Amino acid sequence: MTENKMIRVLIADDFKALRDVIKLFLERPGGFEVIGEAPNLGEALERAREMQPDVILMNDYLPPNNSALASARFREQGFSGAILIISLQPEPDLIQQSFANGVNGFMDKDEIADYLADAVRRVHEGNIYLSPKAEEALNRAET
Amino acid sequence: MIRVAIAEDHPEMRQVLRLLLRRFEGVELVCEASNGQEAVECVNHHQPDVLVMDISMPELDGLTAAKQIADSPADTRVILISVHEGAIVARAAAAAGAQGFITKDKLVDSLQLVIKTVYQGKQYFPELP
Repeated sequence: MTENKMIRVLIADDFKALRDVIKLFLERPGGFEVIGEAPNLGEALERAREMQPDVILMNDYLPPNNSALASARFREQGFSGAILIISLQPEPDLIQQSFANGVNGFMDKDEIADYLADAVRRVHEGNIYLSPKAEEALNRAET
Repeated sequence: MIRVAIAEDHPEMRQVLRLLLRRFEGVELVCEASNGQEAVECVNHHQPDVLVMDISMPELDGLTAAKQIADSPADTRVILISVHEGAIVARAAAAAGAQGFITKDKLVDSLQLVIKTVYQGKQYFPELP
C-alpha cells in the first residue's frame, strides 16, 4: 500500500522559472505531488511547518542563507522529512557542511532531467544521495 | 530534429532553457552563448535552425545580434526573450529581424510552441496586431 503513496514535495528556490521547470520534471514520471513552493527561507520554514512535506527540494542558496545554514533551521524546527539540495555549481565545502547539518541529498541542476525523480525517491526512502556531478566535485577537492 | 541554440547571460536562466529543451521531443541543443557576440559566432559556426536569445545582454545586446544574424547568410530563425512585455518590445524584436518574441514568464508554457512556429516559417508575435 505505502509504495503507491505520492511523495509530497516542497520546492524552495528563489527563481520562479526554475520552480516551474522542476514541477514539469516531477509531473511526468508520476508518484510526486508538489504541495508548495517558497522563494526564501522564511516562507519555506512556514510552508514546511504547515504542510509537513516528505521531501524539501531546495536551492543551495535560499535567501538569506546557504543550504547548510538553511538545513540547520529546518532541523531545529523539527522537520523530519528528507532534504535534497540542487545546485548550479556544487562546491565541496558546501556539500559537506550541508550534509553535516542534516541534508540527505545533493545534486547539480544540470542533472535534473536525468536524476531528479530517482534522487527524490531515494532520499524519501531514507538513503543518502550524491549525484555523479556532486560526487565528482567532492573527489576533485580530495585530490 | 530541430537544432536549437540559446543565448542568455544569466546562468540560472540558461539552466532553465537547457532543462526545458531537454523536455521537448525533436529538439536538440547545439550551442550556448552568454552574450550577443557569442550568439552571432554560435550561429556562424553551428547554423542552428532556431536561436532563443535574451534581449538584454552584455557586450552585444540581443536586438543588435538579431539584426546582424538577419543580415548574414544564415538561415537561423531568432526568438527574442525578455522580462519586459508589451507591444513596444515585441515591435522592436520584429524590427530587429526576429521571427518571434516571448516574455520570460511564459517560457515554461509556450517555448515549445514558439520554437515549432518559427521553425515552420511562421511568426510568433501575439502582442502585435
